[in-house]
Amino acid sequence: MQRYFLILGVMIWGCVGSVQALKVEITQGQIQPISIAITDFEDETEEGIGKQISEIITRDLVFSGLFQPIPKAAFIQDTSSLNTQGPRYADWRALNAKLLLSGKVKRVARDLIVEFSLYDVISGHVLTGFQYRAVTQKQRQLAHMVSDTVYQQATGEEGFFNTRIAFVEETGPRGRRIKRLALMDYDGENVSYLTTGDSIVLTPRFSPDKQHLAFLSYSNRIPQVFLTTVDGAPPQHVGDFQGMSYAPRFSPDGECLVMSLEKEGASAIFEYRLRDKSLKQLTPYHTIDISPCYSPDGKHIVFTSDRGGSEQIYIMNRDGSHPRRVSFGGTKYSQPAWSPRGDLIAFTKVYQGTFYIGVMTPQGEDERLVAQGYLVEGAGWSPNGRRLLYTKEHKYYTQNSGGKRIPSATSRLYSVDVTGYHECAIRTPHEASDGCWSPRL
Amino acid sequence: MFVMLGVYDPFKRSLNSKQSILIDFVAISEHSQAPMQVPARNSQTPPQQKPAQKPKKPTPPKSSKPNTPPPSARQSRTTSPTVPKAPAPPPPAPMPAEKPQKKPTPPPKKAQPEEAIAPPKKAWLDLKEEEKLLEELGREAPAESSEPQGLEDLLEELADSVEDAALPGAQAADRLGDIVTATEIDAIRRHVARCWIVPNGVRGAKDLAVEIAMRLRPDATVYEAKIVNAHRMQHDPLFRAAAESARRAVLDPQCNPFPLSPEKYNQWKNIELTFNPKEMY
Repeated sequence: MQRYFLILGVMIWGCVGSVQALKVEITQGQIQPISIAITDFEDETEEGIGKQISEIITRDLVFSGLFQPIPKAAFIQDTSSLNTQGPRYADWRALNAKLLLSGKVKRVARDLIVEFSLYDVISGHVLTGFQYRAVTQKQRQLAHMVSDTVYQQATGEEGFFNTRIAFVEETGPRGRRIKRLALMDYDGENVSYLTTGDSIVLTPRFSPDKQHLAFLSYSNRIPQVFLTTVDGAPPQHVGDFQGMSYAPRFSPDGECLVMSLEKEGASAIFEYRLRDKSLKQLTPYHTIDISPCYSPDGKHIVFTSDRGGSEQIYIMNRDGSHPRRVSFGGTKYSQPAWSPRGDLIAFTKVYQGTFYIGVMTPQGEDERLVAQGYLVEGAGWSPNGRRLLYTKEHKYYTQNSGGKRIPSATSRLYSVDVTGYHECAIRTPHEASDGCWSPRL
Repeated sequence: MFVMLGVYDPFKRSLNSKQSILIDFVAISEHSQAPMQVPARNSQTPPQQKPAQKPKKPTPPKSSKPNTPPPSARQSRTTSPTVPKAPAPPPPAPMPAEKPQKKPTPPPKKAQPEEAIAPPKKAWLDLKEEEKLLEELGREAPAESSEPQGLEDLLEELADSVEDAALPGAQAADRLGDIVTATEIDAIRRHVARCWIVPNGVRGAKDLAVEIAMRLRPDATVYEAKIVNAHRMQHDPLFRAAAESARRAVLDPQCNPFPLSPEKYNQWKNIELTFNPKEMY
C-alpha cells in the first residue's frame, strides 16, 4: 500500500511538474487605432437612415483617433446574412478586423429604434448590444449614443460623442469683429445662436446640468458675467458688481460660480453662490488672480496669478487657504483647466514667442506639451477627460492697395487627444474661439 | 567558428519552426525500458519503423513489435557518445541547448535496421553486451559521425531520423533536458508585441497589468487563453478593456503560431503572459 501511494505521489508530482507554466512578461506593444468593421445598419424604415447612422458612428470613432474603420468595399460577408445568420468570423478576420459593429433601424410610430451588436472578431463572441429609442428628430443623437457605447466597450472610458460645444462665433473684419454666442453638436451639426452679436461675448461655460451657460459680455460696456440657458433665454447679469467680472466657471455641484473681480487695477478670485447670491472672497487684491477652475471633486481651485512676478499656475483649497504654485517651467503659464478625470491640468504656455497647450499633474509634475502654434489658448476638456478643445489661430498675410503686407489671422477650434496625437479641427460655420465642451447629454 | 568547434552557432536559426516533425514523447521510465528501434536509412526499413513509431506509448520493451529489437535506451546513450563526438558535448553548453545537437540521432538506428537483435531481457546491458551489440550494429554510423560534423549534417541527420521514425526513447532522452532559452523568450515577446494594442492615454494606463494564461497545441497555436483575475473585469472597465485587448493579441491569427521549438513542447505548452505597459510611459 505504501508503495502504491508512493507511485501515485510520483505520478501526481510528475503531472504537476509537467503543467507548470512558462512565464513571460510583455512590456512593449503597439500604439495604434483598433481596426473595426462598421456595417451599414439594416434599415427597416427604407429612408436611408441606417446608412446615415453608420456614417455618423464612423465619423465619431475616427474623430477619437482610437479606431480605424475598415473600408466597406472590402467586406466579404453582406449585411443581410450578418443580421440573419450572425457573423462569419473567418471572413472578418481575413480583413484584420478586431471589432465588428452591426445593427438595424426601425420606426415605431414617430420614434426611431436603433439596435446594434458589437462583436469581438478575434475571440468570436458578442461584446455588447443595446437598443436605443428616441424621436426621429434625434437620430443623430441615437447614433452618437451607439458610438459612446462602442467607445466605452473598447477603451473602458466613457465616450464623448453625445455632447455639445458652446463657442464664440467670429465674423467680420479684424478690428470690427462680430462675436456671437453659439451652440452646436460636437461634430458641428445643429448650430444655434444665443446672442445677437450686439456686444462682444467671451468664455462661455456649461453648468453641470447642461442647461445653463455662464459667459462674459460687454453689453454694459465693461466685461461682466452673465447667465443664460441653452434655449437662449435673455442673459441675466450675475451679481451687482461695480467693476469688471470675468472668467466664470461653475462648481461641480452647480451651486456656485467662481470668477475674478477687478478692483483698482488688481484682480481677486471670488465664489458666488447662485441660490442666495452671497459672495465670498478667496484671494486678496494684491495681484492679478484670474482664470479660476474647480477640481472635479470641488475641493480645490486652480488659477493663474502673477504674485510671483510672472503669470504662473497656482492651486488653493476651495476656501482660499493654502495657495501653492505648481508651474515651474521657466516661462509664462496661464488659463488652467482641471481635467474631469482629476489627473491632469491643462494650461497655455508661451515660450520664445510660440504658444503651447500642455498638461501636467496637479502636483506640477510630468509636464507634456500637446499642441503648439502661432496662437493656441483657452484649453478645455471633453467630459471624459480624453480630448482637449482649444482656440488656434493661423497667421497669414494680405496685401493692401499699396502693396504692403498686412498680417492677419483666422481663428478656429481644434481638438487633440490627451496623448498629443490626432489633432483635428472642429467644424464650425465661421471662425470660432473660446470653445467649451458640455457634459454628456 | 562555432561550427568548427562543434558548438552550436547561436546566431543561426536551426529548424524552420513550421517544419512538420514527428514527435514521440515518453516518460523516463518508459524510455529506460523501451526497446530501441533501429531506423533504417534504406527504403526497406521505413515500413518497419513507421509502425514502431506510431505507438506513442511505446509498448515498453518487449520489442515484440520491432522486428529489429532496438537496443535499450541506455545502449543508445552509451553508443551515442561513441558515434558522434559532436553531439555528445551538448549536455554542458547546450543549455541554450541547440536542438540540433541533441537531435543528432544516435547512429545505431541507422545501422543495419533489418538485423534482428534479440531483445534485451533486462532493462540495461552490461558492458560486454553493449560492446557486442555495437559490433553487430556496425560502425557505419559512428564512422560517419566520428569527426565533428558540420551543423548542416547534424540537421540533416536529425531530419532523417525523425522522418525515419527514429528512436523515440533516444530522442526523448535528448529532449527532456531542454529548456526554453532566453532568446526564445525574447522571440515570444517580440512576437506578441506585434499584436498587442496598448491602452494608451487612459487614466492609470501604466498600472494596467493583465495576465493571460495560455494553452498551446504542439503546432504552437493557441487554443485557450484565459484572463487571470477575470473577476476584476466586472467592476473595473479600464481593466476589462485592457484584458480583452491582451486576449485578442494572443488569439490574433496574425500572431499564431508562436515561434516555439516543437521539441520543447512540454516546456511551453502552458504559458502565462503578463502584459505590463508601464515601460511605455
